[in-house]
Amino acid sequence: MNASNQPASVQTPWLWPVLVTTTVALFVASLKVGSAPIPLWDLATGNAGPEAATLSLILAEIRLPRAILAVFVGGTLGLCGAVLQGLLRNPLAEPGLLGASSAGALGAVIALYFGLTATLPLALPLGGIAGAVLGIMLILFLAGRGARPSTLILAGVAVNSLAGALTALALNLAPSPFASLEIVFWMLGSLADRSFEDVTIVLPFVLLGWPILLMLRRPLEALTLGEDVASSLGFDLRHLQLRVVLATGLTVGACVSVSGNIGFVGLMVPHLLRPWVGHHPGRLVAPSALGGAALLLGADLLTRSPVLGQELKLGVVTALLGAPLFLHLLWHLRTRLL
Amino acid sequence: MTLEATSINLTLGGRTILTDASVRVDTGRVIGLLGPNGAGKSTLLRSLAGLEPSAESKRTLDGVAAPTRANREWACKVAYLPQTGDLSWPVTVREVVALGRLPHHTGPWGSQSAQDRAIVDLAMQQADVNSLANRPADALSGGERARVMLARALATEPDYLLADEPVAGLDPGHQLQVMELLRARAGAGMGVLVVLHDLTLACRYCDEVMLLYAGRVVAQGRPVEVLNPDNMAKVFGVRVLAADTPDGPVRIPMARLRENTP
Repeated sequence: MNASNQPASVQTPWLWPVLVTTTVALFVASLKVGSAPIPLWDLATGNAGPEAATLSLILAEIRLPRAILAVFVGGTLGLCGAVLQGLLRNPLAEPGLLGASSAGALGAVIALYFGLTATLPLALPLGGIAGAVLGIMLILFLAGRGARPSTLILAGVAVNSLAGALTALALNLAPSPFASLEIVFWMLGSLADRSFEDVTIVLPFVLLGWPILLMLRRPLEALTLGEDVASSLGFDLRHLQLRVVLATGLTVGACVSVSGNIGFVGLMVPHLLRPWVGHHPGRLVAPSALGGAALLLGADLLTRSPVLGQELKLGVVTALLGAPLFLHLLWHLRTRLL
Repeated sequence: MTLEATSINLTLGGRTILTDASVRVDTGRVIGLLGPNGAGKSTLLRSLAGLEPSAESKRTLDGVAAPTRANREWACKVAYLPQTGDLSWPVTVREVVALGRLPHHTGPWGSQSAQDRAIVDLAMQQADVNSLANRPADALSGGERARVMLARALATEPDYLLADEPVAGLDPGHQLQVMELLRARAGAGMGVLVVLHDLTLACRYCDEVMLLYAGRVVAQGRPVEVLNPDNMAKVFGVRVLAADTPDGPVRIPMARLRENTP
């Protein structure tokens, strides 16, 4: 027996421990670090001194919701990136590049600045969800499941431009004179100044959407061999597509409505994790949720870096990290693109 | 037991692909499907596999009509092996073959049992891809990949295998090995429908052949009878050398009888 006949270790055993440890560490750091560093241990043991009450308030009302949202939003983007890449069999597919996030932002902007949220509290996430679902449906209509990477990216450019332009238009026409100043938030995203109210907006949709996405493992595995074989293996692809559109729409739409459009997370996370799950599109799904959470917690910590003096937008950090990777992927795919 | 599709008429983009074509596979038999390029062989095979939506309603398995949507129980019984070995991600050969076990798992997770692994090992061994087990399947040669895909279809342990040109691109040794393997599986009770271009292989390894021409089944029956020089001249426009050898009949295309197909 030569070495190549030993069973392949397709999943690295330490992947989950590393992901969990990293996420927990970044979550704790995210509670500690900021304009007012919080001594968590002292606070917990009652040694924080006279400022204990203020620090507890900052922790509970500012840091904790922000960290939880980073987990939800990052997890959603990582998860949806992995699922969309599996469905479209394309490593460039992700909510940001395909325009689902910006279409979701457009829906949220319309709901927020035209008074819909005043009459219906759920209007904000529902607007985001409607936008995201329409965005993904438009992509699938323009490019289809079997599209070449270039077609898919061009369809994404089209949806992104349209949604971006309409968002700018909506903010200009909005009754509030300050609305147009918020374009940066919607285009680049941020988790600053979020509260538990935002957590409760996102939570139900994440609880609804994540299980659907996590259970898509087997059909995504089957799609490794193309649509015909997946279908002959007993997987109904129209049903699969419907579940992906609904679940990504629900989760991305709800997240974007509180965080704005944060790009590249869904591109970076599956790409970085893929070698550690043997390039297996099904096994990639669950780790991508945790990877996305860790990445966004880390990126959000960078926005608060004291070196910069002023807080950066989260989308700027993820774009600075993700765009070079996007270029790298394009370079390697260029033979397949045309 | 019988898998069949009857009276299929299929038009794609205004072009008639199949006209009143019927195909029937019994368990334990190897049926060869032959005909010129564009005659509709792949489409007929795909129709029987349930991959041509307009032909779906015409499929039956032991008289039971096929479901109109992809179905797990049917996927356990009928395996489809396409001509192109599409592969989207660089997973290992063993992983590709293991995908053949997917229809046998219920529930969203479906981890592999020891029995699944034994079946995957056997399929890899039979298709002679054991030594490639841990190689990324995208880094193989065309012929190696074709055998990996065959192992994947066999790993399903289907009652029927619908294989589109499984020996295309294989070296002579592996062509014989694959045909022997299909015969052996038929001997063990599997029904095989196989698209072939090699007339000699069809003569030697099929129980029955169907000759397709311009979307119609023009001849059907025992290979040596159907693949006679007359039919070969009509359908392929070639003169064949037909002979019997101690190893079995041979049919070798010797010369073209017309400049281009009319």
